Amino acid sequence: MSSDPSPKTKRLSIWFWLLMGACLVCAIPWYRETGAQDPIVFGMPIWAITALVSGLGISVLTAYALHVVLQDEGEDPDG
Amino acid sequence: MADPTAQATTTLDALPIGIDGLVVLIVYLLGIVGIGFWGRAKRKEESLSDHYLAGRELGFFVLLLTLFATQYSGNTLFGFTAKSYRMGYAWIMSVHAMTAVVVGYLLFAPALHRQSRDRNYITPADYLHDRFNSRAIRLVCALIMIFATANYVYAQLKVMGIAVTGLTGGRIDPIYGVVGLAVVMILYETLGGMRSVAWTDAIQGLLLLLGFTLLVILVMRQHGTLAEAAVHIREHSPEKIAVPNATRCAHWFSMVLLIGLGASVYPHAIQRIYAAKNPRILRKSLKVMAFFPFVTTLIVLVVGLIALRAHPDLDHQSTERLLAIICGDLAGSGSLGYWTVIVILAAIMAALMSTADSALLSLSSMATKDLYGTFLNPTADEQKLTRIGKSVSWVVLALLVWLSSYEDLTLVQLLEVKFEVLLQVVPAFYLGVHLPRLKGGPVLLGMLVGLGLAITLLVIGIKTIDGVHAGVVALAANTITVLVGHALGSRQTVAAPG
Repeated sequence: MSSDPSPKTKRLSIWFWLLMGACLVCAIPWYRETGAQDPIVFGMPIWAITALVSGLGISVLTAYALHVVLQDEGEDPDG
Repeated sequence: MADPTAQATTTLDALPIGIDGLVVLIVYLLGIVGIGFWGRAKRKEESLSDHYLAGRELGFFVLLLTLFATQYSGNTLFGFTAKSYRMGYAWIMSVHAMTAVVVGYLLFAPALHRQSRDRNYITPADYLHDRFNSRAIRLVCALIMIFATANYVYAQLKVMGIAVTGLTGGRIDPIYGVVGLAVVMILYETLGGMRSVAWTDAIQGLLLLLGFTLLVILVMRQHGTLAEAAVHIREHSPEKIAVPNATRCAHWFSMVLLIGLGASVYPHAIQRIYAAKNPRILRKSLKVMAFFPFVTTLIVLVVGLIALRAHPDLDHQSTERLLAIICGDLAGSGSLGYWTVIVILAAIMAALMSTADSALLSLSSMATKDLYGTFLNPTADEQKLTRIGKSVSWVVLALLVWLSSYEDLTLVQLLEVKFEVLLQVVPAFYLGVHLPRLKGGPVLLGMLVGLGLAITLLVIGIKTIDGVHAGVVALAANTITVLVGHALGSRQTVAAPG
C-alpha cells in the first residue's frame, strides 16, 4: 500500500515569515532582565502583555495561512 | 495564619447546591443520553466509518465545537486554574501552548484529511501503515496512542471525582461521581458512536464557552479585578509577576512544544480531521480554533491570578481544588451566583465528559482495528469489529474507573506524562506528510529511540533538563534519528547503480 503524501500548497510570502518570526521571538520574555518588575497595565505587567499580543499575532497569522494558502486543488469553493 | 487545607474544606462544605440545582443537572445528563438515542436513530450502517467517524459527514458547527470541547478538558479547568495560582503570570505559556496546537494542525491536517478520504482511514495508525507500508509502525504507534488516551480518560475520571465531591460539598464520594458520569458517557457513546459524541460535544462546547464567560465575570464581581489582584501579587508574591528567569523561559518553550505538538496528534483529534465533511469545513473550523485560547485558557489564567488575592496561602494539594473553592464562593453570593455555579458545574461535567468520551471512542477504535483487526483476527468483518469495539469501550472504562480511586499524581503531571510518550509519534505524521521519499525504517527507529529515551528519563526521575521536558528532549533525538536515517537512505539510493 502507498499513497501520495505531498500536499498541494501555495507558497507563503516573505512578510508572513518575518511577522511569524517576530511574534515567535517576542512571545517568550527570554530577552528581558530576570526578576524585573514592569509597570502594570489592565492588571498585566508589560512583559505579559507583549507575550499575549505576540500570541494573538500567531493566531492571526495561522488563520491567514489556513484561509489563503492551503487551498487544495479541485476543492469545491462552496464546500 | 489559618490552616489552608481546613480553609478549603470549610469552603467546600459550605457549598449549597440545592435540590433545584441537582434536578437541572440530572435533566441535563438525561438530555445527553437522549442525544445518544438520536445518534443511534441516525445510524446508516453497522460499519467502522459510521461508528467511529460519523460517516465522515461532520459539518462546520459540529466539527468546530467537537474539536473545541475535546481539546479543552477537565485539565484546562481544574489543572490550569491551579497552575496559574501556583506559577503566576508566566502561565501565559498555556495560552501559547493551546495556540500552538492549531499551528500544528496547519502543518499536517489538510493533507492528512485529503488522504484519509482517498484511502478510507479510520485510525491514525491506518495512515502510518499505509504511508510507510509497515505493520511494526502501526503496532508501535497504536500502543503509544492507546497508552496516551487511556491516561487521558483516567485523568478526566480523576477530575470527575474531585468535581463531584467538591461541588456537592463533600456529600457525594468521588467514586460515585466517577461511576455516575462514566455510565452516562458510555451509554450515549455505545448508542451512537462518533455521531452522538460529536453532537453532545457541540452542546457541551457551547456550555463550556458560556461557563468560561460567566466564570470570569462573576469572579471579578466577587473578588475584584485583575488590576487589584496584580497589586496584591506584587506585594505578597513578587516572583509571580516578575519577568521569569531563563529556566522558566526554557520551560515555557518546552511546554509550547509539548502541548502544541502532542495535542495536535491526539488520536481523537486526528479522527475528527478524518470525520470533517470536506477540506473547506476543516480549514474554517481550525481558523476559529486559532482564537479560542484567548476566551478559554486566558480566562482560566485570570481566574487563577484573582484567586491569589481571594484565597492566599493555599497549599499545593488545595490548589488542585481551587475551581471548586471559587465556585463555593460564587454559590453563596446570591441567586445569580448560585445559578451561575449550576451552569459552571454543567460546563465542568461537559468538559470532562466531552474529552473522556472522545478519547475513549478513539481508544476503542485503535484497540479494535489496529490490534485485534490487524494482528489477531484480520478476517473479521466490519460489523464484528464494531461490536467488539463497543465491548472494548465498556471494559476499558470499567478498568479506568476502578484505577481512578488510586494513584496520587497532580492533574498537570498526568497531562505531561501522557505528552512525553505521545510526542514520539509526531515525526511520523509531520515528516510523513512533508517528505515524500521518507521510508519506514528511519521512522520506526526514531520512534523507538524517542520512546526509549523518554521512558528512561522518566524512570530515573529526570522530568526536565534545564527546564526542557524529557519528552521534548526525546523528541529531538527521535527527529534527528529520522532525518539522519532519511539522509543516509537517500544517499545510498542515489549511489546505487542503475
